[in-house]
Amino acid sequence: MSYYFISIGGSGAKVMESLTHLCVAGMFPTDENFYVMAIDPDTGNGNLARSSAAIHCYNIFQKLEVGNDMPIFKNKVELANPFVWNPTEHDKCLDDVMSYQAYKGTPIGDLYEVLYTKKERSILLNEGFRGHPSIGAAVMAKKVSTDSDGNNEEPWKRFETLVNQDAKTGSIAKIFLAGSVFGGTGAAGMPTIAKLLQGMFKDLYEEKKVLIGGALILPYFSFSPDKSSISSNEIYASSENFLTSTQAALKYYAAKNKEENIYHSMYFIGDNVLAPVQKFSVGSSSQENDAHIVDFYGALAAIDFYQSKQLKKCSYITHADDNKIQWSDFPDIVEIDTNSKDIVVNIKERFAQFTRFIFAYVHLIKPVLRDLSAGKLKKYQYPWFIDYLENTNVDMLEIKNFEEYAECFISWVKQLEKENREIHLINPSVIVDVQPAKINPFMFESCIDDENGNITINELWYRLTEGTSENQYASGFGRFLRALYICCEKR
Amino acid sequence: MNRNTKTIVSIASIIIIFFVISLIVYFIGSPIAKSVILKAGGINYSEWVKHYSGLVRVMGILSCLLTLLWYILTRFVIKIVYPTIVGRRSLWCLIGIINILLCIIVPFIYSIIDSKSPMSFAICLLFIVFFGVIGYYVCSVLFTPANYKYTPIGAIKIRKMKGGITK
Repeated sequence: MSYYFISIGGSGAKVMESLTHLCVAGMFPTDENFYVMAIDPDTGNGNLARSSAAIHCYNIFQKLEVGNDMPIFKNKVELANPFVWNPTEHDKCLDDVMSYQAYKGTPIGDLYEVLYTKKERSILLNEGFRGHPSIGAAVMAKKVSTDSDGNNEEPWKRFETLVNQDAKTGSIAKIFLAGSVFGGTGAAGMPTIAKLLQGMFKDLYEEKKVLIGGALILPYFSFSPDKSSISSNEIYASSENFLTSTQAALKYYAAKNKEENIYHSMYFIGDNVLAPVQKFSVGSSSQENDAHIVDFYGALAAIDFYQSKQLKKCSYITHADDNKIQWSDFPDIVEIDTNSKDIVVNIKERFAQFTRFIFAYVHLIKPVLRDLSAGKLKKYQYPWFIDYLENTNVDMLEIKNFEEYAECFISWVKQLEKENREIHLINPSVIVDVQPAKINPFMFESCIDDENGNITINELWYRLTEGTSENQYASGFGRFLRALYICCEKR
Repeated sequence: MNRNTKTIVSIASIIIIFFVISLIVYFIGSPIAKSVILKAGGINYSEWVKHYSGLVRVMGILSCLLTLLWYILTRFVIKIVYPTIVGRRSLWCLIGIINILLCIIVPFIYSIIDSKSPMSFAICLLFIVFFGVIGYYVCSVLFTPANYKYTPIGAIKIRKMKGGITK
C-alpha cells in the first residue's frame, strides 16, 4: 500500500503542511511511500510556498539514516514533478481556456455569456479563481476533457504509473485529497479531481484497489478586503459569501452522493470561530494565512483514512470544551507492525517527543554545530559531538535542509496557538522567537501543555552523552538524530 | 545499569580506590622513611609509622573528598542550560591543583605540629603520585559523569581505549 496526497488550492496546501509534519514525526500507520502533489493555478501563492517548504526540505533530508526501528522519517516521500499542477496556462483568462472566440455569436457562446460576467471571463487566472468556483470548475473540466484521450501530461503520468504498480503488487493505493468547499480552487477541484481519478483508475476503483478520501474544509477564517488596494475591475474572494458557498457545496455533495460514489471517505472540517486574517490579499505571494488547527485536523483526517481498514463514508469529530482544543480532542493513531498487528499510539506522546526533539536540536545543537566542526569550540565540552559527529561533514545538504525544516516546524507550531482560539497543545512561552527559532530553555520541561515533564535541557544533555541503543542501519548524522530523538522520550 | 546504580557504583569505586591507594602509600612510605628520614637519627621508627599512618589516613580522606566533590558537582550541581556555557575544565584543574597543594602542605603541617613525625619531600612526592595523579586523575577520567566525561585532560583517548565511545 502507498499513500497519495493531493492538495487543492490554498487550504489544501495548509493541510499538506500539517500532514508533512505528522509524516516526519512518524504518525503514519506504516512505512509506506508517500507521494505528494499540489494543484493550484496560483503557483506563486504564499500559502503554497510556505506550506510546501517543509515537504521540500524533507524530500532532501529523508536520506538521513536513523535506523529501521524509528518512527521518524520512516515514510519516504516522492514529490510530483512538477510539484504544482496548474490547470491553466500563464496569462490566460476564462475566455482563452474555453476558446470563446470560436463560439462567439453561436448559441453556446450566448449561453456562456449568460453564465459568466465579463469580469469573470476576462480576469487573468494567474492568481487562482478568486473565490469563484464556477470559473475553476469550468477550467478544470475543460482540462480534464482535453486530457481524456489518455495522453496524460506530468505529473499525472507518473502518478498513474505508481498507482498501477501498486495494483500489480496487490497493494491498495489510498489517495487523499484536501481542499476547501467555500473558496475558488478547492471548491472547483475537490469534485472534479476526484472524478478525474475515478475515471483514470476505473477498474481499480471498482475493485477497491484504489480508495479515494477527501478532507473538505469548511469556513474557518474571515477577512475584510482592503478596497483601496483593489482596482474596480478586479474580482476577489469575499468572506461574506463563504457560508452560502459552503451551503451550496454541501447540497451538491449530498445530491452527488445519492447518484454516484466518488469519495470512499469524506471528512468535513471547519470551525465556528472564524479566525481573522491579518492581511488581505487577492492572491499570489502575498496571500499567506497562518497555520490553523483546522489544517491539523485535516491532516489527522488523512491519517485516519490511511490507517482505516474499513471505509467510513462520513466521519465527524468533536472537541470536549467549547472554548478550547486540547490533546484529548485528538484521536490516537494506529501503527501496524511487521506482523500486521495494530499498535495504538498516543498522539500526544508521539508529538511531544518529536517537538522536544526539534526544540532540543534548535536550542542545543544548531548554535554550536558548525563552530565545533570548524574547530572554533573545544570539542571536549561537547561529548555528543565526539561520540557521533566528529567525522561528519556538517555542511551536507541534508543537514541544512533538516535545520530549515526545524525552523518551519517551530513556526508552524507557534502559528497553531491562535490568539482568538484557546489551543492547548504546547506551552506558547517556550517559543521565544521564530525565523530564526529561539527556545526558552527554562520552559523546555513544560513545553507540552498539560504535562509535568522531567526532561530539562540538562537532563537531555546527560542522556545524550550517556549514549543510547544502536541500530545497524543508523549511520552518520542520522545516527546522531536517532540518539537525540530517543533521549527526548518521556521515561 | 540505571543511572542511580551507576552513581552509587561510581562513588563506592572512588572510595574503594582511595582506600587501596592509602594502603599502598602506607606500605611504600615505610621503606622510604627507613631510608630517608630515619638516617637523620633521633627518631623511633615504630612511633614514626604510627604517626605516618594517621597522616596517610588524613591525606587519603582529603583527596577522596576532593575527588568526590568533582563528581558531585558535575553529577548533581552544575546544570547545562545554554550550549555555549558548558566548559568546566578550569574547575577540574583547580580541584586537581588544590589536591596537589594539599599533598605538599599537609605533611609539612603535620611534621611541624608533631616533632616526632618529620617528613621529607619524598613523602610529598609519594602523595602527589598516588593521591594526586593515580587517585584524583584516574578516578576523574574513569568516573566523571557522562555530561562532562571528556573534561579531564586525556579522557578522550583513555575512554576510547576503554571502549567508552560508541562507534
